[in-house]
Amino acid sequence: MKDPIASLLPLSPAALHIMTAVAGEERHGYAIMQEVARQSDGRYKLGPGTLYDNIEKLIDRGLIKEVARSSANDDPRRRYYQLTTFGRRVLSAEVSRLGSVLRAAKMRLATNDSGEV
Amino acid sequence: MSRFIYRLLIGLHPRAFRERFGDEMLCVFDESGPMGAAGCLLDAGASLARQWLLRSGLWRWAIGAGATALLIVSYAHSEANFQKQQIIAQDLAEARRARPLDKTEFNREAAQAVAMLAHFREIDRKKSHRLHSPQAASKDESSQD
Repeated sequence: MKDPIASLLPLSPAALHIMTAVAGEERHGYAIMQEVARQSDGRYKLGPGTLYDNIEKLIDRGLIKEVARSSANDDPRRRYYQLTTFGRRVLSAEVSRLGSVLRAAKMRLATNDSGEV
Repeated sequence: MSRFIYRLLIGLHPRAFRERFGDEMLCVFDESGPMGAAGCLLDAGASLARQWLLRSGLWRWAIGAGATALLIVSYAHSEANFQKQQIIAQDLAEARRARPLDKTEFNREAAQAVAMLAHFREIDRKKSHRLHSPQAASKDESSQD
């Protein structure tokens, strides 16, 4: 049987950013957009359509879930999202995969730099 | 104005998506402020295309409809060609029937018929000659050799 975590990798950039944004604490849509922009130093910006398209996919795959709103004073239209346990395992696997890619890339670059002179 | 257009774009999304995320998208638009409005509008247009073409399975219907249309057009085309060929064949047959023989053709046909008749009569004559006098027939054969 196929590994359920491996079958979801690699994550798309949008999914990776959204999952990272909701990994620490629950966030609503606009806060996720701001967090994604902060993570990427403003280079990667998500619009609401792209954000909710990805949120829908992540919820359907069981990677994130909707949680109760944090305060009663919030805009009632807001909904909060959080990483699930399964989502956390998938994110860890993706981070470890990216780490290996990064290490290999650094090694290759170092070899080339020393060979060039 | 931009909020109205944005609401309109959200309203055009597939019902399931609109009911699930429409209010939130509008909430994010309101929070983005006037600076983010243009980006939100562009994103909503892209989202609209994505939701209808990819997520709703409409592309399957579009491919099916395209293939059906192609089949209908090709069938109609072949049917029209078949009818055209039928009409041409009918016209040719009618033209053949309607065309009278001219004098030269009639003379040639008549001459051929007379020659064939003469040929058959000659064969008949030889056959009867052989039956009645076998010696003459053998003589005939030796003279032919």
